[in-house]
Order: sequence, then C-alpha cells, then structure tokens
Amino acid sequence: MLLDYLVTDAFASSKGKIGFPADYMEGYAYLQNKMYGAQKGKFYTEKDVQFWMPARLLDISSTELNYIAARCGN
Amino acid sequence: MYWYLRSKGHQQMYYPEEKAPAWRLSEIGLTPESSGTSTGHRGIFMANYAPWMLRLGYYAKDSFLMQVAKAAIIGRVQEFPGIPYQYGKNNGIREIRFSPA
Repeated sequence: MLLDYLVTDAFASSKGKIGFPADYMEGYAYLQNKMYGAQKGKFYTEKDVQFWMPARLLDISSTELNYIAARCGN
Repeated sequence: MYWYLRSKGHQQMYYPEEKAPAWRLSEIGLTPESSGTSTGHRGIFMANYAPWMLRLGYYAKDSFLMQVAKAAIIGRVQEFPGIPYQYGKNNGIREIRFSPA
C-alpha cells in the first residue's frame, strides 16, 4: 500500500516521466494494490531502470521524508 | 481475556489506560478489508484506496482527489493504531515503537 502510493506519487509529480510497470497484489484479504519491481521501468530518459528498495538504503533523520529508489546499469 | 485472542494462545498484556480525543482513533477515511472482517473484533481497515485515488486524480486532473489520497495515506500511517482498530483504544499503540500494520 505504501510503496504503491510512493511510486504513484513519483509518477504523478513527474507527470509520468518516472514510472514502473505494475503487477497485481492483494494485501491481507481483498485489499488490492499495485506491486512494482518485477519489470523494469523508466526514470526520465533512462530506460530499463530497476525499482530497488532495500531496507536501510538511506539513513534519514526525519520520518517525514519519503523516497523511492531504483538502479540502472551496473 | 477476549476469547478470540485466547484461542490464538495470546497472553494477557496490560498497558496503562490513556485518554485520547475520539478523532485520533477514528476509522473515518478508511475502507474495510472485507465484509466479514469489518465488524466485531476483526475490524480491519486500511487506506489502500489511496494510490488508486491518486491515479484517478492525476488522470482526471482533479487536484481534490489527489489531496484526498495524500490525506488518507498520511493519516493512516501517522495516526492510526493498527488494522484492528479495537486494539487502538489507547494511545499506547500510536507510539513509534509499535509499527502499524
């Protein structure tokens, strides 16, 4: 749910320039959302960008800063 | 102890009673997981519609829907005590060490 919102927020804020193909996901019972990462997406002009959200990737002092991360190439 | 929890093997836990404004623990703005788990001890509510509302607002160029989505996700994560809202009858569960489901 949260990741779906964050990825969608990036998509909307970038007017579609950041986007990842989604798969169907059902959380708990019947709570449907989109799931990302099974297919590569795009980041502005970068293609084949892999959605990548490992735990503790960033150490942020504020709990109010959200981010999504992706990697491309090597 | 509530029979459902006892049947799961839970042990009785105690937490000091706290008072909180009703709006802090309200399930307004959340959708139920299913009809079967929306009442009684299994009241399970989420804001999983928020990303869909955001997509709708984006494609419909409706900033109000996008604001509703943002409010739903922030409210759900920041304030709501957990998917079974009955457990949140005290503010203890709102503390940062309890990760919301």
